[in-house]
Amino acid sequence: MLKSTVRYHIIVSAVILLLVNGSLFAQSPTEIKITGEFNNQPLSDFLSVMQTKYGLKVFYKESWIASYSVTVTFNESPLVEALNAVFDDIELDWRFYQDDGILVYRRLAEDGGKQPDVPGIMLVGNPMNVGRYKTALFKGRISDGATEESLAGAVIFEPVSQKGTSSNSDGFFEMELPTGEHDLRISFMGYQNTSFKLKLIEDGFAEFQIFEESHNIGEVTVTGLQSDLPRGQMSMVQMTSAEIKNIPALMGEVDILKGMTMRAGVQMVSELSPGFNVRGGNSDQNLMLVNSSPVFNASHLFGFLSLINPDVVDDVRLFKGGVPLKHGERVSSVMEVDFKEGNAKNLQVYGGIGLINSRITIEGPLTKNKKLTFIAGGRSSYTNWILKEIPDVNISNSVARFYDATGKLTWKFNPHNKLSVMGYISSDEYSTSAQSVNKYGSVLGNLTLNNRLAESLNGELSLSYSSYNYMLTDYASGNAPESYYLSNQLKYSMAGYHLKWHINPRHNAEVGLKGIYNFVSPGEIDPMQSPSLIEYQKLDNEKLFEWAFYAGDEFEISPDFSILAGLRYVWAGNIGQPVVYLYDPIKSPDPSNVVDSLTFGQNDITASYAGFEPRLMMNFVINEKNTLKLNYQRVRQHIFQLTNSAVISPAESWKSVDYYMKPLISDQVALVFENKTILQNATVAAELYYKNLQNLIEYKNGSQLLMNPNIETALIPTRGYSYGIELSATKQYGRLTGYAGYVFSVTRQKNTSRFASENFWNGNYYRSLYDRPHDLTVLGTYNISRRWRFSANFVLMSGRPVTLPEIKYVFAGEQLIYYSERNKYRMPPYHRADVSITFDENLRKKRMWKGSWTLSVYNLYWRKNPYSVYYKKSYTTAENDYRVYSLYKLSVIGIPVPSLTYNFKF
Amino acid sequence: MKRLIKYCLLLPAVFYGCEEIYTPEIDEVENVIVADARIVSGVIGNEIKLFRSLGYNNNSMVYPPVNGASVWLMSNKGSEVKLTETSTGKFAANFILSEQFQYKIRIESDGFKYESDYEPVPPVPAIDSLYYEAGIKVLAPEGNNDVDDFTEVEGMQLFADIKNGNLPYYRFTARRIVQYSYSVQIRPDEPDRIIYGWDSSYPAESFNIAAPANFSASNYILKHPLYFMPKKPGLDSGQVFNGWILILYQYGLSESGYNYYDDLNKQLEANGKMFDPLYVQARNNLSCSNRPEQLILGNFEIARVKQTRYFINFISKESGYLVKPIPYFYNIPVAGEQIDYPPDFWETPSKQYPKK
Repeated sequence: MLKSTVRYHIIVSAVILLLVNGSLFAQSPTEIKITGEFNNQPLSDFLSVMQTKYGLKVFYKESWIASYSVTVTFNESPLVEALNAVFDDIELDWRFYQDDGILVYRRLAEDGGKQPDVPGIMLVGNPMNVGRYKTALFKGRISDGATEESLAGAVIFEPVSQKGTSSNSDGFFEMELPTGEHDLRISFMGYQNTSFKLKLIEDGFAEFQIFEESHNIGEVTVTGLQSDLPRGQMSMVQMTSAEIKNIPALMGEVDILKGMTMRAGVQMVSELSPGFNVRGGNSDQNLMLVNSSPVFNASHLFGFLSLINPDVVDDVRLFKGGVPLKHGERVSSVMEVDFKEGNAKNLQVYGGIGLINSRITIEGPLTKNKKLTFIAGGRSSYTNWILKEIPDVNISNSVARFYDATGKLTWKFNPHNKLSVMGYISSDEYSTSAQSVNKYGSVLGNLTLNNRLAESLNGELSLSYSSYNYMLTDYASGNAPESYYLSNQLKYSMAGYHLKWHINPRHNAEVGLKGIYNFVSPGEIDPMQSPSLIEYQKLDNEKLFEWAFYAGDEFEISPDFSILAGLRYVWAGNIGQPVVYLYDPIKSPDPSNVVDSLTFGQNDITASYAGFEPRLMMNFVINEKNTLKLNYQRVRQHIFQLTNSAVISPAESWKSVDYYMKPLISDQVALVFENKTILQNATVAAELYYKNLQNLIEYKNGSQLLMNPNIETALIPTRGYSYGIELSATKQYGRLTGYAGYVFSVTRQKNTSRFASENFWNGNYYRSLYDRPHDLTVLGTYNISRRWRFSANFVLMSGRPVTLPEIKYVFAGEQLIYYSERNKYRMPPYHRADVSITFDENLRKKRMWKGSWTLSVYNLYWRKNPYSVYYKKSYTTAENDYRVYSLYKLSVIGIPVPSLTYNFKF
Repeated sequence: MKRLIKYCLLLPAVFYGCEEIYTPEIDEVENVIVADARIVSGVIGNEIKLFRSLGYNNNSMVYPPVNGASVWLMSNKGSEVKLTETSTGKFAANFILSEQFQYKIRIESDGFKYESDYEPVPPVPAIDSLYYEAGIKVLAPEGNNDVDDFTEVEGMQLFADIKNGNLPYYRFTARRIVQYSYSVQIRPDEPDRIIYGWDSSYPAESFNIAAPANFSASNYILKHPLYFMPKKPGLDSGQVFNGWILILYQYGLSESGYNYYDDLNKQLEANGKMFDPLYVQARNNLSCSNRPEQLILGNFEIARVKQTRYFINFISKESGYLVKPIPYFYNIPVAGEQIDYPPDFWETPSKQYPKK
């Protein structure tokens, strides 16, 4: 009913706007004074008087006004005041329109407009205010026309001003536009590109519904600037869902983390590896939040796949800088991954069948009123058959498998209040020989309650839990008395409340409080049998409590200049570490140099650190085509992953700040310039950044990190910096879409130990392990037809720093080596090209089963990119030139890898 | 083609890739002094060798000896002995060292004074039991992962249990002597005559070191893998295999000596796979006392050694292998052949030995 009414209203509005040729009106309507007495008279009488006595044209539908009467007296009352008095308490409202018209219409939620079902112009604002404002804040919501489910990440683009934005997780967006007529284009992967004509008069709201074009399978939306972000938001990875989905993937496995590494400033650690590096930072400096629950190991199958099932993901974004005020905890980046809420209209099933795993997802409403929806998905691997085929005895006898399951329930009380509960569980198991088995798993849980507390005040309560468990079973080569289990564990709990207050169009304030509790069991050795030669050992548990209070405001100083200023105060304390060893101050810290110790009770604070984290963002709109943004942020990190390998293994445990280890502090300033006209239909951006890092960790040569109760003696205090320029061009529209990015960056660090002998490079700055100065990425998709599309990408980046032997010598008959200073050399450059072609089986909306085939080739031109460089002794063969001792380069994928993947949905 | 298809479908990344020799451009660095300073207490023929290192890309395998250096052996009780330089860079070090003392060396060369840490004298080692497991060993050629090129060798793996060590750190070396025989007709009119031959080989693996298992509460070393003995070695046509003689040298080490070898093994056994540590710079016990930044490579080590010998031969599928201790240590040349009658060290299952 509402829908038909609205449609009628829109039709009327549009027809009027299009056809009525307004006559000149001698007197402005606002100058009209009304005099008269209406005593329980029908509303139609009042409107009739407006027409006959005051020469106004009034448009309405009889059935709307029939039930209303008017009892009011006017004495030279301004027309606006009179109309407001009449329409104050009824379900109708009015608007001026053109110069002498009054449009009567039914009130809608948010007083908003609704898209016309026939081509027409959507009116936003009071016609009386035409010309009053130069720009207006246009808000809206985008939903699926079939399911009414909010669409997150839909792109709204205005081609004349070249302005664009995308919808947030609830489908809402906002953008500032010049007043006047606009041709808005809305696009969303798998949906029809839709245009809407809009006449924007002043700040206002409108609803949009778009419809599926074909199937929409397993796609992930990595979005750009969304409406819940400040205007000065920058340093955020932007990628459309189409781009992610179309990137040719190794063995056809689309992965959002791999997609992220295709963006400027985000680099993969190695060819296949868990984690990624952001602006030269270690992978443990990235906070990956799945519905506010952090992930401590984001990989399946050694990093071949990420922990995130792409089918259940609704929205992903990565902040390299300009981290939202509510976030902290990690210094390099924050990645937000939000799961879908579930289809509110129909039950849907979709999934994919791959060579090494398959996945299935089901979503739909749970109640008739569609307020309670769910989504559940799962993946499971079947890699053993592949391992058996690998011509290596150890590997063919090894195991690698995983499964994960995800679920989310969403209860929308009403459009502005909802409760969601998310759960995730994963399990991985692998072994590379019969001697040991590695198992690890994650459990995530989250409850989020979103409330509209007042018209412009929104609150979010979030409760999160995350745990990570690792266990190694070592069979000790079949020697049962020496077999054992090695395990470590981390549990994370968080409670937070976030308030966002839209004070007025020029102020958006936010304030919040967050409490975090980390429990770390860094290591435990448990004999597998009894009696055993293995001694039970357990490192002391670590308890880290952290809380943060923050407040900030985005202030629009002028339409062209806005500032977001915020401040976080963070306190972190290590609680109850039983013993702290004190070392001889004149000697380098070593377990043999312990001279005393401090003991603490279970609830004593062993060490605490506190400090402010200022956040600042500025947005300068130079003109309609050019924007300048400036950002400064400080972030403090209180928990780290200890590793002395380039690729962090699942076995590496986490370590909290303590008596010796201080919080890692990052200060980053960045400047970005955006232009929308240098390249036609493309956004070009240049971003400069400088980052300073205090209290980094470096590892001594041969340091023992596993089960080390004196871990502080294995570490060298270090500080560092990085800077760079990131250039990018993005084309989101047209048959050819794509992205090109180039980064030049420098990342350096220096050791600051009091003991000079501990410092590498004599205490001077040297390359960080993740310093890769040149990084070029080009990727594009060409839509050959509605069913066929072709994608290709090319990646070129500097080789990773590496430490190589400079000296050889002989000892006890073996040729040995002495390595250079740390990270002195580089591995050869990394480059690779991949292609894929996708065929969609059918595009009909009503067709139940929808499938698509993707044929991809990874590493098209047989590039043997180096994975690692190492020295070893080996048997002499023709392959190693009959050398016993050699330096080798290992390439993990030295051939093109084709794959064919089938995705489906019904 | 079939192989290509198979290859394309594989999960190659993590385990399976392409290994190639890598020759990067590396800076020329100044050669440094290297000390191969290993003293086996109570054994004649010890030498401390001083030589210069070479640049990694230097194709030469000749390490220049250090001229004009002096070496002293010093105890923690204050006594010291200057070692005799027998040839350039080589110093005789034939001592019986006391377990009651600790020792270090001092080296002076080109104005630099180098010293080691004090090292203890470990006890004489011993093996409690030696045993084997029959099996197959797969030899994978370097740089080639094709299973068709793998070699499977049938044989037995020797293990040792050591439960008596107060200082439970060991290194093993070995010499394997293959015994073979064949008949040959020397003159047409004479009957065939039997040739008894033997040849020595040395294990090609990196350092075979042993210590209690990680996280072990005891000093016991259980099931330490020693060497793999093929059931039949590669022999020429017509030659008959007559068993192995294994000469096993067990060196007792200090903990620091063991750790040094452990670091060296990590250098020699890297394979660059996922999660491997970045690199291992061997941590030695030598340093320059008058200029700390001056580098010295090598290590000072005091060891004790025990030699044991075994006769090993395959008996039958049911009985397995014979592993017989050899109580009498004959002098066995590296290789040779003898006609008509076997050499005195020739082993058989029923051999009788002279009294020591």
